Amino acid sequence: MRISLAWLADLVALPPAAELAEGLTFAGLEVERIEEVGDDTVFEINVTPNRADCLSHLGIAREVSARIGAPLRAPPRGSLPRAFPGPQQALSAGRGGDLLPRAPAGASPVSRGAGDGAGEAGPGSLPAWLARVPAPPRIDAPDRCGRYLGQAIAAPGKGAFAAPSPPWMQARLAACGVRPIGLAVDVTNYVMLELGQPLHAFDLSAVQAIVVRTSREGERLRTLDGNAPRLVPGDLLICDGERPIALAGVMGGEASAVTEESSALYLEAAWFAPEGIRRTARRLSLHTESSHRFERGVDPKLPERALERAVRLLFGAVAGLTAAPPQAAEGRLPSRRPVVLRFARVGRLLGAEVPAEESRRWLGALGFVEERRDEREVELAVPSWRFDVDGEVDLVEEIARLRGYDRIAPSLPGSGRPPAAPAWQRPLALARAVFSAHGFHEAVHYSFVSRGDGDPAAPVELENPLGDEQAALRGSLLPGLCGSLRRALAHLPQVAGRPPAVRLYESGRTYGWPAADERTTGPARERWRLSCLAYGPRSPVDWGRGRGGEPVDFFDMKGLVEGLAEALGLPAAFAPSASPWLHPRQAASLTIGGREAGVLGELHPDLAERFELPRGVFVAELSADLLLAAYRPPRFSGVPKFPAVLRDLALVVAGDVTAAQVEAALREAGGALLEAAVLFDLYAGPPLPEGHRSLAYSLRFRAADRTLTDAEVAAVHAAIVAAAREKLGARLRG
Amino acid sequence: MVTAGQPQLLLGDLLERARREIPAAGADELEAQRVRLLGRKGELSALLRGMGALPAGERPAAGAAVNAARDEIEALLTARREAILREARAAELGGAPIDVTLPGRRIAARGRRHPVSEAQDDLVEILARMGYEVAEGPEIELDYYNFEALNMPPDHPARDMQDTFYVRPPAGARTAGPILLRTHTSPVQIRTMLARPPPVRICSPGKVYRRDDDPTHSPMFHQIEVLCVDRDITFGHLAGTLDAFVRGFFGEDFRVRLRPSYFPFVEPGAEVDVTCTFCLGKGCRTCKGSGFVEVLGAGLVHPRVLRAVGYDPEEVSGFAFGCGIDRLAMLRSGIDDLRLFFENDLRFLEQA
Repeated sequence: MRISLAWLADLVALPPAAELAEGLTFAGLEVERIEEVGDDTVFEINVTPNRADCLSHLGIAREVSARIGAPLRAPPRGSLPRAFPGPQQALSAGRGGDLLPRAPAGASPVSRGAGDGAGEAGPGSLPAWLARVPAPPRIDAPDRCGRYLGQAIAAPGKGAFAAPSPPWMQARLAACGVRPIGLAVDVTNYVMLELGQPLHAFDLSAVQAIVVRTSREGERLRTLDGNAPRLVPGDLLICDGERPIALAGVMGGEASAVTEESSALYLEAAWFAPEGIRRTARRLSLHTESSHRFERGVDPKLPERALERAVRLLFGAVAGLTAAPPQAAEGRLPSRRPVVLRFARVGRLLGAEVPAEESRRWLGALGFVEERRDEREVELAVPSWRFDVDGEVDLVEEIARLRGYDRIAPSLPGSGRPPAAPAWQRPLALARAVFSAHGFHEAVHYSFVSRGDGDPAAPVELENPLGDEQAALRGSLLPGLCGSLRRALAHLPQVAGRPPAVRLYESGRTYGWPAADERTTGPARERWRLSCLAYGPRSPVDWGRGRGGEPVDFFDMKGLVEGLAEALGLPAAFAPSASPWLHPRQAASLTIGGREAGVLGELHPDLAERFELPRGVFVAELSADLLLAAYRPPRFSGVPKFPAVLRDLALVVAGDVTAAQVEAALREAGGALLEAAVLFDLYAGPPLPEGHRSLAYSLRFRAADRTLTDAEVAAVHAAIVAAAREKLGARLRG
Repeated sequence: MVTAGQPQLLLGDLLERARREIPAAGADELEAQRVRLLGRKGELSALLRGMGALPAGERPAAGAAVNAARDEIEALLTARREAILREARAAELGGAPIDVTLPGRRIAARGRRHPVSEAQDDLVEILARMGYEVAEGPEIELDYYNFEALNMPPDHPARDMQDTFYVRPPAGARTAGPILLRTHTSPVQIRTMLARPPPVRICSPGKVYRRDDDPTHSPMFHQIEVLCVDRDITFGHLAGTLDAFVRGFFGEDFRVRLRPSYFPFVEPGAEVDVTCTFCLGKGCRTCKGSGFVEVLGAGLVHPRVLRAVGYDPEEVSGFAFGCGIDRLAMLRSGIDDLRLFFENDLRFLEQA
């Protein structure tokens, strides 16, 4: 909201601009910008949605008055005047000082503007056009329209209402960011900016009988912006008889607009219920100055005053106007209940001593009227413009903000029960340390991915995405990581002809819909994943013996995952996987305690192509939910007291025998004495038979309670060889 | 034929030769000398065997002489061996130094934390020290938890402050009201309070979503919110806690300043400014000369919110505050474009 200080000074005495800005900011009306416009200074004030009463110069003036105690110089209230001032008076009124002279007593119900002199026209000299004054307005939707005031005004000829408004008015409108258009529109805008009441001016020829009603299905109205939105039941309409002429509180209709041809107006000042205006404005994306105010709440006592002000401004600007008496219709206004303030509650909530007298003083300055009071509490009538106040705590806030938040001394609440650390905190830190030690940088990607088109990987779609690329929620962290790899490859330079090494990981959620019988906390299924991606040389290029050149492979990724499981104290098992993300020949699943905890392997070549990536991208996607919950802190058991015996063993097996099978056979036959079996060589080729390979293990034997004898070791070694032969057809490599 | 004088004579020659040759021997030669002189088939052994021919009276003296010679030779050998090692070590140490300015070698490059997740950890830790435990909740939320229970019924203008992404419900599903991406982590507060009685002290970090995209707003960002509900919690407690929170994150020299503002779920509400990190309060372009930047929203929990979760506002009161973790991280580390956080450009991430 742009506030002209020159205009504001019409309504209240002002302190210097800088002081005023600070005072308003610390009363909750943040002055975001101060701008010099000609001789004027304009404040850009951030008015929060609860303070619709401050969307006008009058509203800001009230705040200034309450905060600094300067008296308000508001236009007089009272009934509509029967006669209107001449142009000179209105002009000076508009520029400040004595705003509105009182109407001469006994003026005629129909008045004429400048030049004719107030009250000159008597009942007997009604102009001819008065015969066309509309029938009184009718409200068919009383819960949606609390009041409707209208007044017909005629000029001696065409064009007066579309003519430029007085320069001073244009200047003020411009200072407030409103483009001057023509007298009638400018006056309605001027009054809105001054008092906060949106007005609308119809061409009188379009108005025979105002009816305020809700729309019927399929009705249309061409609005001032040239569109003809389709209306739905519930949109509030201003109609001329049956015919819609305005979208109430939002925008006028094109056909009833004031033009060069207009010689008479019908001015509307009404109160519309906020929710309905808001629904219509939002649905049609018609955010106007008028809807902005109505949907936040306009003072229901304002229409008379606003109408009066507008008529006076018109009379001041154009000679020879005539006005019919204002017409009014009443709907239902929301009832306002008084609010009780317990004086002790103020200090108890704020944590500051606030005497009852002080509380009463601040509230009085804001226009709250005491209806009942004893030493403990006071009952207050809420000013009609304060829609936001309906409870005691609102009053406490009013007191606190006018006193100043800085007058509340900071303190700390007493200590409560020490908090429990989340169970995932330690294992997550361990997992992060593993990633970091392996050179993986942490990434954080948007949860959005492009629309899945039924892709089961990203089934959760947005109703109102920012664009097609962000139309769904990710079902996997891998697309984000792949996208970052693609961008990295586009800009990271090669080193010594080798591709850049890229290592990324992310900890984050993926989204899906729960199965029919699945229980989830929220409406969707959210899973916490730990995923990573590796590409490029295994180790950084260095100047030594040309190291760092070999690209990462499946077993680098597996080593990382093993390292993670080990850091978390979890026994990991791997088996071939059929994950659609992965190359079918280089894909494994990770199993922890019999439950699948993730997959790892080479990114599927088709996907690599789709992500515009080269081959050789290795990824893992793991369930953080499962891994971190399974974390087992390390347990220690001293060091061995007896020496170990080492034996090497090379077994030749057929190609379809897996390393896991061989190792299982070793362990089973080795029993408790086999402490470790480390694979140190893998060989296939001559002189081994075609399709066979040799796995060489370094076996470590140890007994916990004695030094093993050669005979014992020889026996268990022989048992191992025998078992491998029987179970796997293995033979010793000669 | 062996005479009585011969062994001594030979022993003398043998010793003399050893004294001459051993100190000059090289490493390989030294071992040959040892074998030739002291070995089982060596010269001293031969002399000992020859002593059997001596008269019994001379044998002890001759034996002693041989033993003395053995001791001397061993000492000579040892001394020479040590000398050789010393020379070799001296030669090794005396050579040209390596080029220590060549680059060091890494087994793996150090992986970095993302600045936002690191800031989140820092904040959680600061709050843990103050007695707040972490609470989490869904990012895909029901309208009720995100808005209604927070005193924002449908058609409430304050909903405009948080432009919302709505989620298309799965076909055929019946849902309890609109589904959306949470616009703040406040629904976690509601879920927590619904699940347990006061007192409550929690912080809820996590991703939130608003339909915005420009250098200072991204459609996804991170928030942390703090909630404290207990008997006699005051606005002063809020101010004190904010002060400790901000100093914990930015440093002891930082101050907070509260301005009245509006959030539907608190009353009284406040915007919280923090000493500008760029000029440290002196006034600069970033803070428009004020010395402060707007960082947090705060207030006393609105009685309607307390009632919505079944708490009695006459019995307990509470405060809540929240802020963008990303914004805090930007301020702390001098980043001026929020979107850098989510582009995951390695040239950015590597700076951590």
